[in-house]
Amino acid sequence: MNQLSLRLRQNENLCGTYFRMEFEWPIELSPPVPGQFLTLRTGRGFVPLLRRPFAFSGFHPERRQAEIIYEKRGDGTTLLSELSAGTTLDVLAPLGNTFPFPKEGRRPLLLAGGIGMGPMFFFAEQLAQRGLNPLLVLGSRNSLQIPILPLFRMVETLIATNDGSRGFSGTALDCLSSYLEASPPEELYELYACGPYGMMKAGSSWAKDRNIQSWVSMEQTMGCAVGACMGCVIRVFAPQVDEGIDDPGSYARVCTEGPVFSGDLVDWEGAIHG
Amino acid sequence: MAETSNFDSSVKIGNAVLKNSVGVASGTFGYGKEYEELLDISELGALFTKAVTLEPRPGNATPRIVETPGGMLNSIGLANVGTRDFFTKKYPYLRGLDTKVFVNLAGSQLEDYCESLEFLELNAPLAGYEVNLSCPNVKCGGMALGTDPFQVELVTRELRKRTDSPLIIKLSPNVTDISEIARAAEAGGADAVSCINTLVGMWIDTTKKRPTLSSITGGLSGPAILPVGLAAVYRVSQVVNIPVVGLGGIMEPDHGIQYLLAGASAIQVGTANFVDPSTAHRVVLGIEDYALRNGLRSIEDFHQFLGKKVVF
Repeated sequence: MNQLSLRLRQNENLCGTYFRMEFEWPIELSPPVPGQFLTLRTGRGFVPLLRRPFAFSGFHPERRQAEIIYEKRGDGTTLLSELSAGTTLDVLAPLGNTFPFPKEGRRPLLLAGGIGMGPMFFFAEQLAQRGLNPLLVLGSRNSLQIPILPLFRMVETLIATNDGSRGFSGTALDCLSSYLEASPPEELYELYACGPYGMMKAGSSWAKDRNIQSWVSMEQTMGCAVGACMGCVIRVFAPQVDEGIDDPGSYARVCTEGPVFSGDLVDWEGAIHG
Repeated sequence: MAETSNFDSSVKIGNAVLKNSVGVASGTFGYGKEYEELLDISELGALFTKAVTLEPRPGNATPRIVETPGGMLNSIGLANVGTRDFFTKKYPYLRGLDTKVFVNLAGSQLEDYCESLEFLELNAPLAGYEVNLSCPNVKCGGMALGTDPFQVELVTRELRKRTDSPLIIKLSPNVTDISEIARAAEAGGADAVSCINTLVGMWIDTTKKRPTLSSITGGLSGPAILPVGLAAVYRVSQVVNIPVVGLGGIMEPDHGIQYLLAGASAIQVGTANFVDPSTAHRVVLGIEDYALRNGLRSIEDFHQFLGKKVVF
């Protein structure tokens, strides 16, 4: 991890309340990997105080720029949405673990809910580049919150909206489930989910019922984002392999042991999410 | 900087000599390793570890953190590995650091503190101890012990019997008169007091109509508490003859300098580590620069302006 001063190159409205920010990535650092995140200061003052975490949503090797997709929803992200190209960003990165690739012969199913789409787009692109034929299911509140991306031509993409204004009417998980009913029963899968807590919980449980390995990218309010403060924990059933876990069998740090966890490991009932 | 030699940045606490007055506060810097890629730890005068209790503690339910105007509330609940794992997993790294490492000790009762300290003295000796008698987020002990002068003196006296290493008592601001507690620590044999720990605070989610933190209240830190910390350090340093370690809300070098002027002999950077991990580094440089520009030759020289007694 590094504290970096990175030049903002692009900061644009993607769709609805979602924004996309692209910034230069230092030549000496290896590119960020899907699943990893960064934190950044939204301003120079003390309000808002804490850095904000965002998952990487892409990396563009040809121009050596990385990107995030964020939702404008509070003071910090409003300030962020007002930054113009050329601004220097105070970034801590790369942080956290990565999405593991699926075991051989398993088709990756990517469940993206709302602003959780960012890391799913990044991962979908990498999976497609490796010929792993991902299925991306993107769920959102309504059609206004669905971007139009070249990625959708590269990756098989299903769209679901809660209000039925575009694509499947219902949740992303229901959309996935109904799609798979028509698929060959012998096909093997691995599920990846990033989005609202309820969606990941349901996705994890859905996968477990079908004997499918699931991976979820968890979110929790963060303090330091480097494993020091023990603020961003979630309840888990067993320790992660990492020796750094400070409390075997009950809490894991989203910033350090995560943000990607095996869905089976997360104690969904015990994990109160703010 | 050639003039550097004109300013002696070192600070003495008990029998430990810190290379400079700037440390990082307990609970904001883990056990050091977490920040090694972001800050040159050898530039620090001191490192105060995450609190260690006799037995491991899982900590409080989530959410444990919420941001507030100019600050943050935390309710971590002293989540930590316990003294034995501290010895096996954290000590080997900490002992190799080129800075003075103070173990922050926490507990629920006197016996816990004594047993933890005895274990660490025997197995994991470091520069010294900061005794957390002021955590607002555990049900018993912590702040309860730290708000009663009699208890503070008793705990300090018992720990004093068990170590010659520097003993710093960390004080709570959640009391009527912090200087009374500081005097009790001094009477018990403390080498220094640090003030302040977090202030009890609360935040309410108006959508859910309930407190944001699972524990209802938490400890407020960050720039919002800077003036409170300064006043506490000023008051305490008037009434004790041991060094005062100032902390609470230091975000910029100027804030650290204010603490030194208020009477602190050393300071700790806390929440700012989360916001900008280079803060401690900037504060070290800023203090040196200020000393040189103002013709101050030592940390004691900072104390002459506000009527602080020179205690060394």
